[in-house]
Amino acid sequence: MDFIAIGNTMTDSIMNQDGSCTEYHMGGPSPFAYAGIRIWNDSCSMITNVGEDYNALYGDWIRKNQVCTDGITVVHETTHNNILTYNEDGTYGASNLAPHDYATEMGYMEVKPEQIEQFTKGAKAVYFFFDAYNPVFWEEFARIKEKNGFEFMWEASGVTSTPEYLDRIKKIISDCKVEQFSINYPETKSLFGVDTREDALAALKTLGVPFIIMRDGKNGMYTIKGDKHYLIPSVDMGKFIDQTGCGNCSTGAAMYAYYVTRDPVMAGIMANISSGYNICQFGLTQQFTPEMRTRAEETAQQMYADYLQQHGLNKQDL
Amino acid sequence: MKYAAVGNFITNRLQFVDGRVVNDVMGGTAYGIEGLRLWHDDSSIICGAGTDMDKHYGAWFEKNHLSREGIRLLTDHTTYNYVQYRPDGTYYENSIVGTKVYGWNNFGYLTPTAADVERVCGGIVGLNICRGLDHFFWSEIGKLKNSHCFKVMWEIGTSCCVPENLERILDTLQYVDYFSINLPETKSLFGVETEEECLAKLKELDVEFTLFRVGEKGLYSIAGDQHWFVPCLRWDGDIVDPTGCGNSSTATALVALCEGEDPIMAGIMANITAHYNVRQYGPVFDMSHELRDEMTALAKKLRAEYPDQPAPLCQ
Repeated sequence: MDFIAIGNTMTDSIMNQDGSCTEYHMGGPSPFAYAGIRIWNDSCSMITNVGEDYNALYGDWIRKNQVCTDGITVVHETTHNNILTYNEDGTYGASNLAPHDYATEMGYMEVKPEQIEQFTKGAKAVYFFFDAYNPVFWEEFARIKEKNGFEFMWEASGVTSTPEYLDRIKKIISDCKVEQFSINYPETKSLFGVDTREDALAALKTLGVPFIIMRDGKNGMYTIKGDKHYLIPSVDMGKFIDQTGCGNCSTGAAMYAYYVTRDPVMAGIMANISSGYNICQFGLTQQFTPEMRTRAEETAQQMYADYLQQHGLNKQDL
Repeated sequence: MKYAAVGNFITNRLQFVDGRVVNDVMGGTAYGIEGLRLWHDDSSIICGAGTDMDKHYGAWFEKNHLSREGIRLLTDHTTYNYVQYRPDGTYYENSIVGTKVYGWNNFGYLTPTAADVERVCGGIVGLNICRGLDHFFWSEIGKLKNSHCFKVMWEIGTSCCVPENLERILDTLQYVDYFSINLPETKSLFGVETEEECLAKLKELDVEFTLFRVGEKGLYSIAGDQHWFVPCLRWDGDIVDPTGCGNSSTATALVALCEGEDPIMAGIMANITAHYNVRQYGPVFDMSHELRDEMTALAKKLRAEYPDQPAPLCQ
């Protein structure tokens, strides 16, 4: 497969303000990023660990969409599940197990380097949601990336988006030759100790990553290429139901779009269109159809033309 | 590697009831290794570890010629926990700091999977597994057991031992040859009160052997519908630290049974391991052949006190 989404798989339930919870829905960084890519291209797959129950949870969706299961590995009795509670600023908490049980299970379900080595052979670009904690893992990842020769989009986890991990994040970016980087605005403020979008964008530009997206909730996202940045507004593709996974979904789509177009405006638009579809249901986009792709492509082309015109930009200058 | 303990290194900071604090104590499945290695040279561990493992375990591995074949260095930090003993004998345990690096996420990432066992199980005769009820793990172990013909000793975790898990535990036992459980766990699991009731319930389990540990009193070896009480072998010197007695004695029972000893001797050897385990913080440091000779002589002497001659379970 050309485009790969790596990370945990989870089943999510959303806690409402009255304390009630929704049913469990498919989710986790790897499936959400996969869905973001799959809107645009069929040559994509996941590298993720799941439970024996994954066929019951995901089987219909996998069969209906002919999802490649090569990189999906059963390692446990149950797929990791979360109850998510959203805060007003878009951040969220996850709980359902005692904290140490939750963390132990999360750790057990994380993909191992040998899985990445095996299933990224021949890949063009790879998305991976992960934290900066484990230098042993990242050393191995750098070796695998060099060997398998893929382009890499790193979606930084919020847990290490703190000043004490900045040097380690820079080292990973350098050692892994990270080509694409994704982080949200609250995480950027935390990582660099800044307070405004201008300062956040300026700080991100110092990382030396060729293409960066800074996700900004309902405002959309900033895409950064070199010393230039672009605010790409969010896109309405249907009725809002649930925002879970939008960051993963849009980052996966941005990875694909930037790899294909090398255009920071088009990458942002396509990323926002993917999350525009993602908010239309709990969990993942249920069915990827040719009609959906056609509509997404037409929307992207129209928005792109409008954006260039509104901002007085020329395509060749991006 | 002929015998392997499947689990995690957990280095401990121990705080005792009298206020003593001891840092950097080897623990977790190191006690399983101890129980195997005291009685058989070709014993070690299947686990994930941090690249720092030599800081606390390197000298012990070198001293005892322990194989590293089953160890994968996956992170930079081996699990390090804080254990606080309470006056009632229970204890509080948590990761030494709250971050993921040292904490429970790291512990989960380092926990060996069935695939980790598969990588090194050629030549294995016995696996000592201290684990929960994850059906996938156990069914994969069952497949490996069928193809490699090793024996499995399961030391069940305390948190599993509640009546609502009984059905799942009975299901898991299909992959297990030998079982180890203590008195409070047995009472909780079956909802019974006395040792006699516990023994009756444990005899109903579909395993070849059960090591029923009853704390300072000692243990029972159970095989079929028979049981033998093996009293604790008290150490007359200072009991420095009893941590790991259950893990190490369980592992020893596995080696004993696999090496052709009968159930009584397995219980005696298990108790002897605990007898040596309490003398220092962490496992016995120098597991020499001289020490094994001493332990073996003691085991033979104690065995002579039992008139029964049950058949060995493993020929």
